[in-house]
Amino acid sequence: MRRALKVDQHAFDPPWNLSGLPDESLYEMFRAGSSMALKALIDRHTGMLRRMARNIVGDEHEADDVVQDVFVAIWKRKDAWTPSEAKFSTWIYRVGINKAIDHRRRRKASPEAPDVVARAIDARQDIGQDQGAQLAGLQDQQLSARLRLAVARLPEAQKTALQLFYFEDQDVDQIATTMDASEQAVRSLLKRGRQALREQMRKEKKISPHDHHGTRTEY
Amino acid sequence: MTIMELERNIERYGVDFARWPSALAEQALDLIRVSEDAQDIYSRETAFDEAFLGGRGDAADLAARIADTLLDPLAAPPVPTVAGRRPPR
Repeated sequence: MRRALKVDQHAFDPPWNLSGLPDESLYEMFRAGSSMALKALIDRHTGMLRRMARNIVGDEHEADDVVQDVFVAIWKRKDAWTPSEAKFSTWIYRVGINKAIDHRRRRKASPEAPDVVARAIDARQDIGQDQGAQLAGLQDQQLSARLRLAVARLPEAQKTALQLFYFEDQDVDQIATTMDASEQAVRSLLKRGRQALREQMRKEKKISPHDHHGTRTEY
Repeated sequence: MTIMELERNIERYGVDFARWPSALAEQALDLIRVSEDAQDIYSRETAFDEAFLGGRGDAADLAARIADTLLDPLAAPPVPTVAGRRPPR
């Protein structure tokens, strides 16, 4: 009786096609020596880390430094994360947040001239995007486009509140004035609008299980 | 600041601390620094912003630079960005 030959479905994938693997697998591959696995983790999480860092330190160039610090720390210490801890994405964002806060506090303690940072960034080589990073950027843009369409389908008040908050950078007070509504009403609109969008994202299953955007079930 | 207050303030001001009153921002950061729950709340809300506002090409550029810096065997070791600032040119 012939036995079916079991072939790993990824056996014949190009060696750089790691984007479908979960974080945990990539980390184990990285620990085993795979530089491409580390690169896949960097591609996957840099955007989120950068946004968090920028929101905390308030400066794009310093946010870039923070993100690099996170991955240098991972690169230097391959046993920094273990599966028994939180999910890899949860863990790396915690690391990023703490590094960003430390960076912010140190900068406040000893402020430096901004041009020092700018010159340091200028000193880096200008390295063009590779295909993987371009694909990640394109996927993010596509996700953003779908979300914008989802916002357009929201009830008018929720849509207005979200657009004013995210695209006009208005705070709740300003939105309340713009919409002639109470602050409580505006907060409620923002909350319900976000919940509706999260629900829409879940229904469309546009977010892969490996995507950090959908890591929390309360979404 | 409590966790509930953090959530309320994030609802009100968003996740960009530049938009917060400075004293409140520092209280929030104090809490986030010591509480994993607060960290997870903050990263969840930031993830929503990231998804909503979309990824940017410059994040992809940064990812490529970091990967090349760490993975290029001929590259100089990463310059420390915390303790020793790069000397001005």
